[in-house]
Amino acid sequence: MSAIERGLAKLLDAPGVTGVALVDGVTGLTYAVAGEETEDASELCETTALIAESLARAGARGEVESVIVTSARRHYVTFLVRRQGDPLLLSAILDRARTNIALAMRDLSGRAAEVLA
Amino acid sequence: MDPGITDPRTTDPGTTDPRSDEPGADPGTGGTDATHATGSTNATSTTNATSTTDATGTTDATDASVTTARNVSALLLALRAQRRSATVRVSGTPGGTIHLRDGLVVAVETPGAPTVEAILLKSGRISDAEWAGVCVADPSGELRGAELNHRALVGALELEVMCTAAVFDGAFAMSLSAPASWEVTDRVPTLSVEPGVEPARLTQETSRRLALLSRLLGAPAEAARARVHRLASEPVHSSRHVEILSCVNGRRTPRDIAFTLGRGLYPVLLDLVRMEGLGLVRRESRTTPSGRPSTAPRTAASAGQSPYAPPERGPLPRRSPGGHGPKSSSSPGETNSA
Repeated sequence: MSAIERGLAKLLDAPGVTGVALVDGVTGLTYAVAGEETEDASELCETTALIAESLARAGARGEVESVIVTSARRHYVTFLVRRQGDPLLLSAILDRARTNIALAMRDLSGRAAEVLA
Repeated sequence: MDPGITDPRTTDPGTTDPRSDEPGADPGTGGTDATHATGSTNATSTTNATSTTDATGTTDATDASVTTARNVSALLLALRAQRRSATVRVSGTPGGTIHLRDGLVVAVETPGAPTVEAILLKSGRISDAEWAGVCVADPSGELRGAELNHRALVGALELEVMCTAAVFDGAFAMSLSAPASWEVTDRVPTLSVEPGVEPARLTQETSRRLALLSRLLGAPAEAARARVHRLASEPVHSSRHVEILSCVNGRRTPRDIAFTLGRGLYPVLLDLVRMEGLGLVRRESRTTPSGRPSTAPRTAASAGQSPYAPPERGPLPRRSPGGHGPKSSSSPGETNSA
């Protein structure tokens, strides 16, 4: 198991998280996946970039930090991980019935910061 | 465009390997040479260059799939099946080196894209002095990654991300032109990703990248070589776009920009596609030379007659016996009386 996979496996301990993936924020390359398979990485990357650009053109200030899409059963959360170099996308699937999205976001972002530090 | 490392199963005409008619690519036309010491895998040197049989070596039947590989993709798959730890040296423009451990691709080094070392240094993550210290501590080059972690210069996860990205980017850069030949040699220590990338995944991802860029830009190889010009000042929202614009000077190509910034070639090309769409930059359309330069004589427009004009009509000069040179017989029938 690679260092990335070991790091992502720790994120599965967060309540409600069923799958996580680490994706390149520019190329859409999947570095590792843990748990349930997440969205298509290249599509995820393209969608996130479009949202960020559209918001910037619309006059939103600051950089996008996360994107949350909620379906009937799940939350699809994408964190933009800024670093020196191209950004990373940390994608997570959360079971909606077992998740308070506000608490989950706080918990997940803290764990992600530890793993990716 | 020739994808040297692409998915051989793809049916996309823009991504298939068209080298079946190239020398060396087809086992029927390209010679093969597989010689190594019996029972020893460390002394293996396999090349697809013109056939020369080493009388001292014996050909191993298990290497048949390696020696008859029709392209680099097939070669990597064959080496993976054998779980070989080796180095594949691909000659060509740009060519490159593919490092394998147990058949998995752990590093790709090519002049067409920045290596991990170049990315670390050019991006400013580590200084030249820090890198020199790492090299001194690990002269063999086998434990550079561990040394970087030990000195807290780059984290393990961060280094794995960088090495993985460099593998895919190097493969993409190498796929932009046709390899002339390749050679399988002993493993060489290098800064590499552990455990490595499956060759099948590498070829699939490279094919996906080529297909995407073909749809967005046309020929990816041309796009990578085209000079980039800055257009009128449009508002720039992305910090990455600002960085790229700081490098655009009308002379640099996407490859130059990638090396300057310490980023991968493919992500730079993707950013340039977006920037072109936003009206920030444009690519220089290169005209293909039609052949060798013209050597036709120039004619002065004002001159009444060209100095290279043929002489006036008449019979050719004739040499006559006893004469000292040719005499122009401007008057037909006249003989040389000297």
